[in-house]
Parts: sequence; structure tokens; C-alpha cells
Amino acid sequence: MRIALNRRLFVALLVAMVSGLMFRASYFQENSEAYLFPIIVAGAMLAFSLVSLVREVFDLCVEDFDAFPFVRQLPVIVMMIAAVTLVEILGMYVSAFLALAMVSVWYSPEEDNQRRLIRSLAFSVGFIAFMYVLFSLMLNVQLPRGILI
Amino acid sequence: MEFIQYFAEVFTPINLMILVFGTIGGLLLGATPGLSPTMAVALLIPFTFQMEPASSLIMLGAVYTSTVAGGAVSGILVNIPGAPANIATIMDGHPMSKQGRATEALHYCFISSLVGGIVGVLLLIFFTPPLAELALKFGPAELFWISIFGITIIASLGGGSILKGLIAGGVGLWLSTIGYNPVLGEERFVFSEHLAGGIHVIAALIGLFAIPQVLSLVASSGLSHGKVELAELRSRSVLRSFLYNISRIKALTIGTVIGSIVGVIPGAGGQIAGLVAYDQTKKMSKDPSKFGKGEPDGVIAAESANNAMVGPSLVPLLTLGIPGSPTAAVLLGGLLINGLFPGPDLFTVHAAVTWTFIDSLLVGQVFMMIFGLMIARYSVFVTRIPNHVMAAAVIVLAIFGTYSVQNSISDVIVMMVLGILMYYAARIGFSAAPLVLGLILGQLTETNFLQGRMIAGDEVWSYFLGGSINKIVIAMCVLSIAYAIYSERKQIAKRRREAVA
Repeated sequence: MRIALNRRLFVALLVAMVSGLMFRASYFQENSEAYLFPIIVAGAMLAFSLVSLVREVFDLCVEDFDAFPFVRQLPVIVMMIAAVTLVEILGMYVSAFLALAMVSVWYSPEEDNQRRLIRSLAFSVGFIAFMYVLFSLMLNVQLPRGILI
Repeated sequence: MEFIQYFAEVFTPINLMILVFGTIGGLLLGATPGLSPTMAVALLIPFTFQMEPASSLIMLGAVYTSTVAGGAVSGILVNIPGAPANIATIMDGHPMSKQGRATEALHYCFISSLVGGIVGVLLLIFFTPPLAELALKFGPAELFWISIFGITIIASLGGGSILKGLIAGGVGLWLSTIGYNPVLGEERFVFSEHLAGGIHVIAALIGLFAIPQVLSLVASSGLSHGKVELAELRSRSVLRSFLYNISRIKALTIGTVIGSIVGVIPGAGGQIAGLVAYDQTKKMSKDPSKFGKGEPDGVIAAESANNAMVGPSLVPLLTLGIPGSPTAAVLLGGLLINGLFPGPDLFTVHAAVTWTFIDSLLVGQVFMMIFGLMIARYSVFVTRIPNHVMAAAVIVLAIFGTYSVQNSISDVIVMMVLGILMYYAARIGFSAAPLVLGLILGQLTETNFLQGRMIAGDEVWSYFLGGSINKIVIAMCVLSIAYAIYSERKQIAKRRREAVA
């Protein structure tokens, strides 16, 4: 119970801090007229987040949340970031293929490594071919080309 | 009866093909657990850029309608609802399936969806134009409050904390101010070159709905639904099912009426419609004990309700710009991208596009039933797609789709950052729906606010707080917040009692 409360309190503090930063970014500007609307919005958010913080301090909330499965999700986050970073170097199709293949190999529950690799690669090739037909041939979208495609 | 003259537009070869493709695709996407209708529509918007506005809306409307019905297939056959709107359907749909009556349950599902859907779209046809006329009386102050009301109600109906809902709406509004001031044209909050020009709505929509789904999919380990037991699909006469379905007039009426009412309430959505209709049908039944054990009335009520919700959910959207469901909020993005702004102009300046879209929803209901009955047996195989494959495919679709909007890698980066942050925000109780609505309505809200200030001069307070329409809308905002606070307090008291016990 105490751990849950501390976690909720931490989140409420974090939200109040983010709201505070948004308010600060909106308020301390030279042309206040251009920032009037964001000031009002961020001010309201700050007020709401402070009320939320007070409620957490006095344990008046009902919600609770579980710990994040961050370790399990970290690889896919890294793979997504890598794919986007590599788009302009390797080209859209190659980086998308790498992302597809890596995600499907990494998260596949298949125990046989060889089967897992073959299935994932086959799926990735098929899916990228589908994306090529859809985007390059049918929709005529100009996708970034790096050293590859 | 203006809508009748645009029916021919729906049957042009290209529009008809799009409608068929959208309906079949939507049924399959709906049947796929993990792919919500909202995410499906968000992912689809970039594909509609190359199309004419009417065709693009036909595609989005067909997918919206058919994903809601398609979600029942996996629910009935393998007890996994394809979409939240189908949760009520599985309560009796799956027990029917286990009794060897899967085909019968699927027939009731699509026939009830057809009835509910047609009534819902007819309500949309007859209620939208007069409401849009009413919107002519709205000036900047009224439109400003209407936007605030939309965000307030979607924040308060989310089921979680009202404060978090309002903060999420605020974040959306604030994010919409990144880029340029819409009236003064001054650059604001461009912290990085990737934010120059602001956050594109479509990039945000895809990120906020697709990336959290990817992270959820990979978080659940192993083969998701790979080893499900597929129910036997015995052949059964559709006519027999149709006659029985129509004879269950009470369940059908309860579902349709409740679905239509819930649809008009901004922010409510199909899940609430299905559950309320199921509950009411059970309460009004002569033998409530049959429910949960394979009672066809349960399927009929739930499915007619969640499809009856679709048409009315577009009434506040097309007239005032307030979406009736999270998917309708995404559809609002699709409208704005096509240069169509909610209000009376939709039925005068853009009448051809709007009526063609609405007529396609009506025709789409019939297609949904026909194709639903035809492909139900095959669409169940999509439930066997493992989570990791689904996650990988969604990542690639999200990247390609976002890039194709403006040929900008910055959009992809923004999409990804927003998506990752949204996943963790959702885990701590923040909902994507108010954030998205804030982001979509942000620029309109700010423009109306600034224009209102200019018109009002020194009398800003009386301009924004005076006038009967303003007072009514402000009262509705206060009421929606008060109701949410009341519900939350009741929930807290209940939890405390349970904890003590």
C-alpha cells in the first residue's frame, strides 16, 4: 500500500513538474500576446496537476498502476529508434526490413533458432514487398533512399 | 431528402471498389485482436491522401463501421473481442459457439449490426442538417466553448480520473500551439528543427494510437492467440437466422435505441453502448438467468447497439466538431486534412462530399452484413497472428504511413516520441482520447479565442461568459466535470469499503 502510494505520489510530482515546465515555457516569452492561449492552457494544467498532487499527498485517490514491463519493451524501443535513425543512411525499405526482422526474431516464442530465423525473414521479405507495391508502385510515394533502397 | 440524389456517387466504380475494399479490410482488422478500430482508422488516413475527399471519407467510414462488427467474429469464435465495442457480445456469443451454434451467433451478429447500423445512419441523415443550421448562430465565443466542452466531456467519460483527463486534454491543446500562432503568425515553441511547422495531426494520431499498441503487444509474451480452439462452423440458413433475429424485436429495439443515444453523447463509444444495451436487455428479459449461457438476445442487443452508435457518433462531429467516440475523433482528423470543417458548410459548400460519405455509410451497412456473413469463417484466422508479428507490422505501417503524409522524417520522429510517451502516460492513467481531441481542436480553439478577444475589445469577460448559448455550453462543461467527480468519489468510497471488508 505504501509502495503504491509512493509510486502515485512520484507520478503526481512528475506531472506537476511537466505542467510547471510547460507554463514556464509559455509565460516567460517576449511577445505575451502570441503566447496567451498556451499560457492559459498551461496555467490550467498546472492548477489541475497541483490539485492532483494534493490529493495524492492526502491519499484521496483510488487509482493504482503496475510497474512497467520496461525491460521487455526496451529492445523494441531501441529497434524503432534505430530504424528511424537509419532511414536516411540505408534507405526506407532496408531499415524497415531490419526493424521487421529484428522485432520478429527477438520476440518470437519459437524455440528452434533456425526455424525462428527463417520464418521471421520470410515474413519480413514478404511484408516489405507488400509495402513496396503499396507505397512505391500504387501510391507513388517518394521514400528516402540511402546507400541502398 | 437531399441525401437521395447523391446515392449514385457511391456507386461509381472507384467509390464502390473503395467501399468493398474498406468493408472487407475493416472486417478483417476488426477481427484481429490488438488492432482497435481507432488505430485502424488512424493508420489508414495516410493512404487516403491520394484520393478524392469523398473517396477518402468513404474508405475511413467503411473501416470505422466494419471494424466494430468484425470485432465480434473473434469474440464469438475464440472468446477474444477484436475491439472494446464487442466485449458485451462475447458474453453470450462465445457460449453459443461452444454449444455448436457459432454460425447462428455470427448470423445474429451481422444481421443485428445491419439493423442497428441502418437506424443509426438514418438518425445521422435526419438530425445532422438541422443541428448544423443551429451551428450558424455560433460565433467565436460559442465555438471556443464548444471545443472546451468536447475536451471536457471526452476527459470525463474516460472512466479514469477526471483530473488526468483534463490534464491530457490540456497537453493536447498545448502541443497544438507548437509551430505558429494561427492569428499573429509568430513562431512558438520550436525547440527542435523537427518541430518547425508544428506537430502534424496525422503523425500524432498514428503515434498516439499505434505505438502504444506495439508496446502492449510485445509486453505480452509468447504466442498471443495462436493456440485457440476454433469453434465448429456448421451450415445454417441465413433466412432462418434473419427471421428469428427480426422476431427478437425487444432486444433489437433496446440495442438500437441505446446505441443511438450513447452514440450522440460525445466521447462515449461502442463499448459503453454494447454493455448498457446488454445489461438493459438482460434486466428486461423474462428469464435473465439464460444470459451468459448462450442467449441470442445478448448477441442481438450488444451488436445492434455498437453499430447503432456509429451513425449518431458523427452527429456532433459533423455539426459542431465534437466527436461521439475516440474513432470519430480520428475521423475528425481525416475531415480536416481534406479541408472539410464541421458545421453548416459541410451541407452547403461541400454537400456533395458530405452526402456521398453519409450515403456510403448506409450502403456500407448492407455490404458489411453480406461480406461479414461470407468471410466470417475465414476472418477467424487473423486471430492466430502472433503478437510479435503484429507488432512488427504495425511499426512498419506506422513509419511508412507517417512519412508519406509530408515526406518528412521529422514527422516520423515526432510520431515515435509521442507514441512511446503516450504508452507510459496511459500506464499511469492518462487516456489518449482527450489528448488527441485537444491536439485536433487546438488550433480551432485558439483561433476562435483570439478572434473573440478582438471582437470583444474591452468587454472580453462579458463576450465569452454572456449570451444564452455560451451559458448553456459552460453549464454543460461544469455538469460533465461535476458528474465525473461524483462518479470518482463513489468509486473511491466503494474501493475503500471493499478494502475494509
